[in-house]
Amino acid sequence: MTPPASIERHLSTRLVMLTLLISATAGATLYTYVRATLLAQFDGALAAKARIFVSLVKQEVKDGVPSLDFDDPAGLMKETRRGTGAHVELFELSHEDGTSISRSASLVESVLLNAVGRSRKELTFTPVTLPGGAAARAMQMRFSPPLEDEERRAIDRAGFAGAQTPPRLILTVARESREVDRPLQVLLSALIVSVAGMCLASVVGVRWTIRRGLRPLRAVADAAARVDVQSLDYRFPLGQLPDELRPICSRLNDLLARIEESFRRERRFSADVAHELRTPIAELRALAEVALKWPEDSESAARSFQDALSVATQMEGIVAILLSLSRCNAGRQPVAPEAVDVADVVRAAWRPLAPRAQRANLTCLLPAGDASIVTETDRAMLTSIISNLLSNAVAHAPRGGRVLVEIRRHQKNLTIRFGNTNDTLAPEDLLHLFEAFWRKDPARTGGEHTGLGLALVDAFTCSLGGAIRAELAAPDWFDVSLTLPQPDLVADGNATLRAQPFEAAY
Amino acid sequence: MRLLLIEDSARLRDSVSTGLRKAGYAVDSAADGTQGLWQAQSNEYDVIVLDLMLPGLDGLSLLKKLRTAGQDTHVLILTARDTVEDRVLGLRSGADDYLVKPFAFDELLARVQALARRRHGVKSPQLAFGGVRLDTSSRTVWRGDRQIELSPREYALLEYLALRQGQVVTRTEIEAHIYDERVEPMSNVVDAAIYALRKKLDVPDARSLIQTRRGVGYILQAEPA
Repeated sequence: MTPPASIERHLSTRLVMLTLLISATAGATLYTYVRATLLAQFDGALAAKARIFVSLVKQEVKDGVPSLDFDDPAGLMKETRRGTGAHVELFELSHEDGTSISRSASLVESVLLNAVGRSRKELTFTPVTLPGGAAARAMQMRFSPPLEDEERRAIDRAGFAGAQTPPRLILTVARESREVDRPLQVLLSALIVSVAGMCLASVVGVRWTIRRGLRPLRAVADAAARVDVQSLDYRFPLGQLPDELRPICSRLNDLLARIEESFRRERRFSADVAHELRTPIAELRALAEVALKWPEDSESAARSFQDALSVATQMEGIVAILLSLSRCNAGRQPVAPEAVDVADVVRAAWRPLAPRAQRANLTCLLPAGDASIVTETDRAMLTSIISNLLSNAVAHAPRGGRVLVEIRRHQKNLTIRFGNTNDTLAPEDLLHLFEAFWRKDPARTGGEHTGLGLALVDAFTCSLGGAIRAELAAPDWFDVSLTLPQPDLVADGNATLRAQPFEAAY
Repeated sequence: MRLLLIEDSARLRDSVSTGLRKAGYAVDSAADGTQGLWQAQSNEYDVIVLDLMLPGLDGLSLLKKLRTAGQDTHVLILTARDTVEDRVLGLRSGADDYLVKPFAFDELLARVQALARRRHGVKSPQLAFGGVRLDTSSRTVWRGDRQIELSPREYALLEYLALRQGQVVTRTEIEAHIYDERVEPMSNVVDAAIYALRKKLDVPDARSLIQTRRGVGYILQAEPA
């Protein structure tokens, strides 16, 4: 179904059509009723006249032969005009077979009977056209003239057996119907004019009403059209809106709030990216400029190239993470599930961190060297998540503190818990932990921490269909729990790999 | 001129201090705010180049502490923060200049030179004394039409003496302003440098421009006092 191009036009058309239909129906009904009433009166008058006429026709016996006696003392048959001639009335009396007995003087032939035809019904009313061309209405009735007692006896005496059944006669009476047609015509014209007028008025009225009624909708549309990226803080004033628009505008307000928030995040993210790239670019520029200014110092030029390379590598790392983040956000991060031994991934991620942990004199509790918990997930992404979380734990645990990793499988979920002694994070920091470029200490620490690690962990976890939660279990203990969904094929019951002292594990 | 560069990015710190040293400045550097504050308070610097986002103690707090302690060393803020509010805040916190990263090294150098001149109340990049003309922007020295070739350190020494024309400058002051932490000044380093400078600068049979005040230091004077 194609949507209406314009509600206003659609409603206007429908309402005008409806008005036209209703008024036309009302007009037709009124016309029919008036016409029926007028015709009934007219026909009643015709019938009365016919009854008088019928009463004048009698059977008699002349010279022993029964015949009809048509006595017209009032001269009805001659009286073809009445009053001022406004009405012409015509009569014709004939036998059933059509042979005329008597008719109005003006009728030379049996025009009337021919015009009406001989109906088989006892009584009919038909519109006819008179010889002069005037419209008229004709009544035709069949009757048998009554036989008076005296006549009956005479017939009986004469012994006419057939005379027992009186002859059937046809009386046709026509009267010019101007008196009915004229008012009907006037009525019809009046009705047509008023229906047309009503339609015209409804076109104007309906349009005006609808336009007025839709004004709040137009106001909302105008307001919505004015909203652009600079005015995302606009909200529709729900209190001033009609009931019908309130839910729509409430949804629009929610949508605006979400768009505003995502724009704000996007803007801050872009600003952060620009800001983060400023330092490496400044480094590259300073390296290049100093090397160019004193080209004769080959030793320092070589060092500059070395530094430039490491800046480029660091920027490459940032860009790679940003690309991964944007792929995850757009839902385009490819996920290739395979069977992965999570304990093995943890141990592999631990190896490069072990020297640092030893230097910081950390007590490390990790899954035992031979233990394994297999799940099905994307190996590269899981490795990246675990490496990030482990290196954070090692980097942020204070000297002499503890680092713990525990893997637990419970029904459909696999949970990896990373814990470390905490002396830097406060509860309010947990809100920002997974934001891109957030750092507890805003100062860069020699490019080692981009502030993107946990944002990437969060995005990867989301892409793997898992969830991540950070909490301060105690003021001096920080926990990150990574929960990943377990596919059915590897869910072989519950298992827990409790952490063991680092020395025992390796 | 002796500078302190407080910057947490090791690569930027290295390249900028290398460049400044090659331009003839004595440069000390610090990687975090705490160390930077300690150095700024324990040495006399002509200019401090300060990053704002520093581990330990952030740049603005460091600056406020310096100013509260009465230190009026010229400070140039070198930061990635580029909004007008950041600049205004930096300058209101007591900074003398503000440069946003990434920056052109020549611009940094020019700004540092300008701050160093102002340190000694001189605004013109040209200094003149006893027939010698010294251009602090091109770091060249002329006697008449003849350019005198000086090593960066000799130039720095002459510029320092010239900026303090007519004042007696002690050996310690010279050590503090011309040599950075990389050089372990021995007792005769300054004397040797002065000797070398006199040889290049002075004309035969004329009174030396740099006079020794025995037991006190040196004074650069065009005319005998």
